[in-house]
This record gives sequence, C-alpha cells and structure tokens, in this order.
Amino acid sequence: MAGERPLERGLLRLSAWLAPVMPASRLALVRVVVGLYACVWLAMVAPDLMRRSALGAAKFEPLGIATWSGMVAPGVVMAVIGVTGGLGIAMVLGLGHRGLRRAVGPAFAVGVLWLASYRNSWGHLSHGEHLMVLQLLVLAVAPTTDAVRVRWPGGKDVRAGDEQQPRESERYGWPLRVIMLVTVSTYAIAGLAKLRGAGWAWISGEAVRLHVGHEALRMTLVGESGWSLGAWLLPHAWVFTAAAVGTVVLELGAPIGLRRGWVGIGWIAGLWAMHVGIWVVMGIGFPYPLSGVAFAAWLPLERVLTPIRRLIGGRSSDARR
Amino acid sequence: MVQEAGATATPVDAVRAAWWRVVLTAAVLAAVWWPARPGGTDGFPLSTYPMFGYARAPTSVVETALGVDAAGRKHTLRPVVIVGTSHPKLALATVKRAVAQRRTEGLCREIAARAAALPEEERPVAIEVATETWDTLAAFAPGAEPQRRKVHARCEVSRGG
Repeated sequence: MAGERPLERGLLRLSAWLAPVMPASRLALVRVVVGLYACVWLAMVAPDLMRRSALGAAKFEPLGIATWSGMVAPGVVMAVIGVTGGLGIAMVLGLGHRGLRRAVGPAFAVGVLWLASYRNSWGHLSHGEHLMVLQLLVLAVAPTTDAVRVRWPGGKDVRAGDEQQPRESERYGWPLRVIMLVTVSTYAIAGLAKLRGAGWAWISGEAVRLHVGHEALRMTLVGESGWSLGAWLLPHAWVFTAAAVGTVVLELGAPIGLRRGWVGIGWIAGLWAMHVGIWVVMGIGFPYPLSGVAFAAWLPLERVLTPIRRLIGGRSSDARR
Repeated sequence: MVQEAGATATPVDAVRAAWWRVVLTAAVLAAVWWPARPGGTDGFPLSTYPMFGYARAPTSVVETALGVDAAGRKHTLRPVVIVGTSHPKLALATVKRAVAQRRTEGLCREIAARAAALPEEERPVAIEVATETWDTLAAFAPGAEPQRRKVHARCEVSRGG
C-alpha cells in the first residue's frame, strides 16, 4: 500500500500478526475441542456442584459473576447445568440456524462462567478452570461455525449466507491468536507472581520443596496419602531446584510460545511437561492443559479432517465446500 | 470479533479494521493482566495465579479433623466425612474457616453425624477438630508427630448409626 504513513504501516503489520490467515476449519475444530472439553467438565463436576449447592449459606463466599446472582436453590443450579449442557452440545455440533448459532456460543460460555464461578464460591478457589473459561469466552464471539458443523439429515440447507465466507481468512486467525495471547499471559502472570511473592530466592527450590511438603502433609491429614511422589522426593533438594528454575523459565518465557514453528511448539510442549511434573510430584492435576486442549489453538487441527471425511463420507457441512 | 473478509477491503477499510483489531485485543489482554497489577486480587475468571508463588515457613500449620478410636489413637478422616464431598481441598478450607470463625463445635457435630454412618470397623468413638503444627520436611519420617496440637472441639460419635 503505497503512501501509507509509518504509523499506519506499523499498525497494519501488527494487525497482520494479530490476525494471520487461517483456515475456517482450524478455528471450528478448536471450538469443537474446547466445547467438548467444557461439556465433559460440566458432566464431571455436576454431582460435586450439586453437593456444594446444598452446603448452606454459611459456607457461601461468592466469586465472580456468582456475586451478582448470590446463592440460589439447588434446583436452579440443576436447571442451569441442564440448559448449559444442551447449549454445549449444540455449540460443539454447530447446530441451529445461522442467527441462533451465533447466540449458542455466548450463552454456553456465560453458563459455564456462572457454574464455574458458583463452584468456586464455597471457600476454595481452584485455578484449574480459569483458562478454559477465558478461551471459551473468546470462542463465544468468534465466527467458529463457518465450518465443521452437523446438518440435520435431509434438512434445508441453512448455510446459504455462509457460502460467501472464504475458506481461509484473517477473521479465523484473529480469535486463535487472541486465545494464544491469553494463554501465554496466564502463564507469564503466574511466573511473575512467584518472583513477586518470594523474589529470586524462589528459584533456589526451597520454596517449592516446602510447598510440596506442605501440600503432601495437608492431603495426608485428610486421608489422601499416597497420592503423589512429593513426600518421597522431599529429601532430594536438587530435584526442587531444577523444578523451580524450569518453572520460572517456562512461565516467564511463555510468550516465546507465540513464535512460529518448532520453537513455539517446543515451548508449549515444555509447559505441558511442567503440568505433568506438578501432577506427579504434587498430585495437583490441571486437567485442561494436561489434556492438551488448552494448547489446541497452536495445532494444525484441520489436517485431521481429510481422514475423518473419508471415514464419514463427507457428511459435515465443511466437507461440501 | 467478527471482521469482514479482507479480499475487497480498501486501504481505509484495512486501517480501520486494523485499529479495531488492535484495540479489542489490547482490551482483552488488559483485562487478563489487570489482577497482576500491584495490589491486584485473585478472582474468577481473572486471576493473579498465586499458586505456590510465595515463600513458606519451614513449619506447616494445618487445621484438620481427626477421628479418635477407643484406644485414643488418632486417625485421618476422608473428605466425604469431613465436608460431605470428596474434594480434599474443600474439606481443608471448611475446617480452616470453621477455626477462624470459631464455629468448630458445630462442624465437629456435623462430622460426627457423618462418621456415625461409617461401617463399625471404621467408625471412630470421637471427632477432634484441631490445629496441628508440623516440621514440614520431617513430617514424613517414620514415627513423626506434630510439634504442637491444639484441639478446638471434641465430640462423641453416636454408636447407634
């Protein structure tokens, strides 16, 4: 674009980085994977959520948007679980007329946000659900259903308007980039918190060792002994020094995960390995990153479509395009 | 987050779309980073991610509830007995809050009622809600005992259950 001013040139360059051209099917598959994870999460936590709902007002300490709703009857929680679950299935499958489809994602994300907030409103804030909700909120307002969705058998083709959409566009790359930026930000914030809380002494490993010992003791005192390698590793101080250095480098360096190619993928693999280590040593599993779903935006998921199309005979709407 | 496809965009449209993208992305990132400002607080879904991010003392102070058998020996109780769910951290948080709010008598009775439903061989004769102080790194040595133990409440478990 000849004649652009330097500010405009810089802006366009930044915009092009923020919104790389990506296939519609990659964004759609991230919707499927994250949405499916959220549905499974909902099914897994529903019984626990119902039990917590019956704990009584004295134990209710509202967090997030649960502050606005306050404590509600267990029946209401059950109804929200049911409706949100239905919306989740619709989101994963990309069901509904075009206008309706656009409402399904936001409604599902808000439902999950409220349920996760409500679940964390009983005196213990778990940090295992933050990233799932943040990624879901980004996907909720993204054009994720332009590809890979189920069509009612023999139903009217409601996709006419969508046929004008390109198969690859920056409009599909932008939400993926935002998800990546949000993801690496959460790790960088966690790394920063360690240096703020304990200073550079944190990387000596002693703080980690004491945290591991403390967690192992706490779990043992509520009958959860034998749940991790933590107690067994406590006499080996060097293990914790290595773990602390690795953790801080990976977390503060998380933005390196935005680099293209193997450097970025390698860094993300390092973060995943860190979660495996935390799980094995401390018994604290963060299922969202451990499952790999947290890093789905990095992966060329669209490559799995060709073999899937061959398998199911091209029934998905994407296959017709 | 929906943008028009750029194939037919004019330069003016492209600059406008670029501004829109940059500003919205910056707004999302500002929200995510907002709790990390000095004095920011942890919350949901925006967090300071403080997990294990602070120095710990070499001693561990843990509020817990234990079962006592007929011989006076202490036994750990599972979360489902302590709080009614299987979540261990929720069990610990519940006991900690009860100690802080001086509501340990009520919690002790709740736990005793749940413990009364345990099979005979697992059923304690009493429940104690206590704060224990341990040497963290020595806590798993054979025969280790807490350095200090303060019992906040003790209640009997019904034998009828």
